[in-house]
Amino acid sequence: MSGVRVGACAGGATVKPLAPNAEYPWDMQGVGMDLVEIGEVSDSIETFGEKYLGRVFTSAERNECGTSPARLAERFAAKEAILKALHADGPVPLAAIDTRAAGRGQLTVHLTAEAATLAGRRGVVSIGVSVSRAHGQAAAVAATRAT
Amino acid sequence: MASGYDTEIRTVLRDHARLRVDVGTLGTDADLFAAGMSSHASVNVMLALEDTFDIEFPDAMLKRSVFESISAIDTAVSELRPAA
Repeated sequence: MSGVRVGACAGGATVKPLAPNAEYPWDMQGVGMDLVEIGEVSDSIETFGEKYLGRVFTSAERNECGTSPARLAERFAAKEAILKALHADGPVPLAAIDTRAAGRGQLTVHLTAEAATLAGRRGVVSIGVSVSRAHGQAAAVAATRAT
Repeated sequence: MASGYDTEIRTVLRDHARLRVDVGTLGTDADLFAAGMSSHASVNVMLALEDTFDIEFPDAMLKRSVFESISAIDTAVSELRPAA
């Protein structure tokens, strides 16, 4: 519903909702977030081992994270946040999204295969990702920038 | 309509989907994500289905809609299982 008052800033300004897939202001094209329980990643490693790790994470991610469930959970959350920010509407293997540690909770992103194709269709030229974890959970937020 | 692999699929979901409800109460078209399956749990479901049915989901099937209901999973498994 257009024009609905959903909140107010400190100065009393009205904040209007954006419809899904709507064009965002400025050059931000999309935003996504995800939350993963670190214990679930531990369970997956224990249950499926290499089959799980190989299907979800790139070799570079595995080199950086080892088998640390907490660090892998951050990367999983980052991938899902990126898919949401890209408004994924088709098949995208999680291993087509490669993330690398960039310090201070930031990740750099390298897309391949279907993920790169999707980003191209969306006109995305860069993706910012921030990750964090606390209380047994890992979280990530991703924002895409368009041409 | 009961699905061809209903029993096996429900067993996989019970063991790996982390649903908030008893999978036995879900209809074949019920939305599994609405029932509590997270995106991470859906990966586990995919891997468990591969082990159960001796199949491998190709990249083209790695999308939310393939795992959103028992009937959708059944359709995917039916496509991937070699003809008896």
